[in-house]
Amino acid sequence: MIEIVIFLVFLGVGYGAGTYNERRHLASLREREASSVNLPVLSLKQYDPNREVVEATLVTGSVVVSIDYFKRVASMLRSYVGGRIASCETLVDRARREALLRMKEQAAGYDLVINSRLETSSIGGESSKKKSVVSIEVIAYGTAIRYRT
Amino acid sequence: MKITPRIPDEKVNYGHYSHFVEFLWLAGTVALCVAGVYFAAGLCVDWIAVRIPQEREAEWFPSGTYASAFSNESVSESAKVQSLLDKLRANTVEVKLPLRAYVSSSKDPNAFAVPGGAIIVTQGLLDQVQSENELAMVLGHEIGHFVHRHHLRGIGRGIVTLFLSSLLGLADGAREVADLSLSASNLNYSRSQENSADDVGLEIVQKTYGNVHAATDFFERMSQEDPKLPGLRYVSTHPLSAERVLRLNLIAKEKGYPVAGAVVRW
Repeated sequence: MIEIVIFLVFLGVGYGAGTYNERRHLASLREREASSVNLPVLSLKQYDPNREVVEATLVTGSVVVSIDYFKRVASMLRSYVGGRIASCETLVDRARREALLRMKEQAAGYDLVINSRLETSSIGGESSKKKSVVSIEVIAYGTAIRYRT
Repeated sequence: MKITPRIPDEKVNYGHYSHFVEFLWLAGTVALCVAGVYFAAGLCVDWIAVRIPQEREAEWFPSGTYASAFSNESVSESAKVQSLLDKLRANTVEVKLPLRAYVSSSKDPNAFAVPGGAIIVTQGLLDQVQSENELAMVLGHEIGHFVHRHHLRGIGRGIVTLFLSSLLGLADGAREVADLSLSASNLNYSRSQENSADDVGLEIVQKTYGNVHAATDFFERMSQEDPKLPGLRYVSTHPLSAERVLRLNLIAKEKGYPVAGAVVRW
């Protein structure tokens, strides 16, 4: 009986904390995306071949996120039925946006970021056994360049 | 090429939906499936229990191992009861497993058949017995349950798991399930099961002694309504009334079993 209570408590904590974090993070993301909208990020290898590049530097942004207990239980249940795991979709999308924004912050003062890529890797997933914490790291990297004015 | 500064639309990757509602839907679906399987297994129990052959039962429940699980008190072997059981078994063609007799120290008169071929009688029952004939009838009744596989019903849904795992060839896990399911079993038989066990018991007594004299004496005494008598506990697990005794007498008459005979002292 006590195990059920503990389970429900964790579930509630996971749900509450997760929803609160998500809302707060989304607000922060929207605000920062709006303020950095003038620094373009491209995955092209070059943008304007006619202009001379004066400065170039590698910029990266990375973030590590983990799912809360509520999301973990929901994905476990979803694994029986199949289909989109929407609870994890939101998490990974937010992680990507966060990584990109952090990269942009590193590139402040530059004209634009070219050849940018996103990479995802999981931490603690494969090395230890099944019951470990599953978290993912998202890295966004690119080349920040400044043209001659 | 022109770059237009644009804030990305976040709704593309995740539309606004409620985590909570999705969770409820998932939990509900999974719970429904589990409940469905559980319910179906319950329905299958009766059907499967009767079709499990004695050899399979011997595999899953090594003889005697589970005798203690079925009695709240300690059980011990008894040479006297065992020899009577062997004598009865010699006259029963259908029994293929060795039947072991155990005596439980409980003071409530009771007897039951246990998966694996053990038959337990309580000390309380042995104290109430006044002749070998009536004890033979009680033991014969339990042998009847055993032969007709009624005792396997008591394990309930565990038997479905055992059956499926034996079909799939997963014999090892079967032993653990047997352990688990025996600890919470329920040995109430339906009236038709009791009646058919009675028939077998009567036939065994007839074959052993040549008559059915005094076979139903024990039941008659137990059915006298006196709450202070320990017999009431026996009545609660083996629901019986004067009907049962009458029915046995009728069958004896139908089949021509001699009623007169000698009382063998216990």
